[in-house]
Amino acid sequence: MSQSGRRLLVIDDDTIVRQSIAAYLEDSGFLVHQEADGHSALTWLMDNPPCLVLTDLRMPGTDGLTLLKAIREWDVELPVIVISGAGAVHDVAEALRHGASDYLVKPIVDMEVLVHSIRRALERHELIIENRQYRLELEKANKELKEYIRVLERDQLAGRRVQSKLLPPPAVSFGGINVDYKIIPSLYLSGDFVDYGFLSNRYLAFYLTDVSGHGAASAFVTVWLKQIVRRFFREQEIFNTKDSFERDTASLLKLINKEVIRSKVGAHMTCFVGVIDTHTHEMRYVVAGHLPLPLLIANGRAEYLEGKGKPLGIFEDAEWEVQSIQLPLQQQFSLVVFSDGVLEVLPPDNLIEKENYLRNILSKQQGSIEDICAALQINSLDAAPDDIAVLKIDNEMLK
Amino acid sequence: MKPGSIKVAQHEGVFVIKMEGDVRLTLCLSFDSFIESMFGQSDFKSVVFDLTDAEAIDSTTLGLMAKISINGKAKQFEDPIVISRNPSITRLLVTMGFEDIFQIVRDADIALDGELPLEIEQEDADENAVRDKVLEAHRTLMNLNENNKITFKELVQSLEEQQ
Repeated sequence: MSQSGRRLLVIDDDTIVRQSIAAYLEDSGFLVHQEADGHSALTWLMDNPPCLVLTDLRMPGTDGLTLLKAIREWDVELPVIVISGAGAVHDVAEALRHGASDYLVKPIVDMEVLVHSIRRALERHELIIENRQYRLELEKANKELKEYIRVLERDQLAGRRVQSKLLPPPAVSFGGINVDYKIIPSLYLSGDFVDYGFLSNRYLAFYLTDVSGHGAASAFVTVWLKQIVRRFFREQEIFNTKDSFERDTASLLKLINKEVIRSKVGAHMTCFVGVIDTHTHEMRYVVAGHLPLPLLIANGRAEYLEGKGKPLGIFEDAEWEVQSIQLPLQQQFSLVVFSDGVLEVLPPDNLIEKENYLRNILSKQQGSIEDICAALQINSLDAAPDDIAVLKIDNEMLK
Repeated sequence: MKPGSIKVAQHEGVFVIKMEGDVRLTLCLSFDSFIESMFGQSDFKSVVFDLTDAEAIDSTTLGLMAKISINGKAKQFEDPIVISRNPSITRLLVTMGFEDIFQIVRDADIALDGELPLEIEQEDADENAVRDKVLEAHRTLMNLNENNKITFKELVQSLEEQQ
């Protein structure tokens, strides 16, 4: 930090001392203004604020201490260095108490000590000013950030409302089969999505998808995905025949896969798609990179469905295998599908143990979605680390 | 769980990407540029993902791994080798259908008689020879790493160096 060219005010009633100090300081690169008494010094500095004041304590009229107090009232931080004769310990203590930066004892034998003291006081003063500037800037930035966050939160909530409008109605029944779901988003917006529909008054088709990432981008993809699927059902007249029921789950995934890759949204997704023939309770399904696998609960036991398959949106020419399973026709069953967010909140620390844990809980718990979430302690999460979606399909008699 | 980290090292055109702990890639734009520059290297041979110390891998990271395999295939390179001894990680890869795009092996240790304890279908000798070389490069790196002659660089750091 170059401190040359700074204006200093030097006050001493002793002309010889004052001039020799001023000459030395000017040689050291400072600009020096001299005054012979406190009163005129005060008048001068009001109009020409210096960077530092160097004053003798003992002066006729307005002495150094009075001047110091007056300067303090006018500018709390202007550095003031006092010079006092030897033996004026009381004066020195008083000056320091009133905020003098430093004091030097007359006669000043080594002028370099004075220069050093001035430089140090200037530096300290500049740091204080700089710090205050930084603090102001930080406070301003902080205020702006808070404002941005408020805007973002508003946007997120608006997005959330749009997304929830697109979700299907919860707790509905089709052909004697009940469907219900719950989505616990990690942020306001979720990359998890469920949808279902009843086709040809016989086939219940449903899917649960988990778009990689969180927040707005993933949520947009879910919204867009819903449109694609709905359009596909409209245009292709899918699942209205036995053949289509047996085959078209895979066609649906292939189509979505192509659309996602072509759109270059840069997201991929895992998905579980199922179609249940409500007359026979046969279910056709496809697994697209989805973990944990759905659990089928019947006779007080929970078992994972079988299956594997690639996620959507990565492999151009991926194929999916349609699996088939016979759901109980005469007895009660329920099928529970989770998104992988649930794995993050289960106590064990690896996938295989987590899957076992989940199966054990579900074997004991055959209530509503709320009961299941309670048993898994998902309801008590303040902020889920990842979105959690739960989809439950059962044939229990509605109470 | 240990917080995740991704480290990279290369040896004679073999890139080893080592994942440790709970791997989550939230920002992967820079990883894309890393993939590009990796394939752009004149001596690029193949990629080994070492997941021996990985505890969990998020879907974004899995997607990027798949991307590396797909890009490599388009350029006629071998499928990347994935070393995974953790049954949970292996299960994750298999459920995602990643057996088709990676050579998943349990172990990179090459026995003295040149036989690999690999769980892989029959393949012709030529491919095996390539794989031996790749795994050998991996081991060389690992040994160097243990002796602190060369350390795996944090991926982020190596990305910064490419800027």
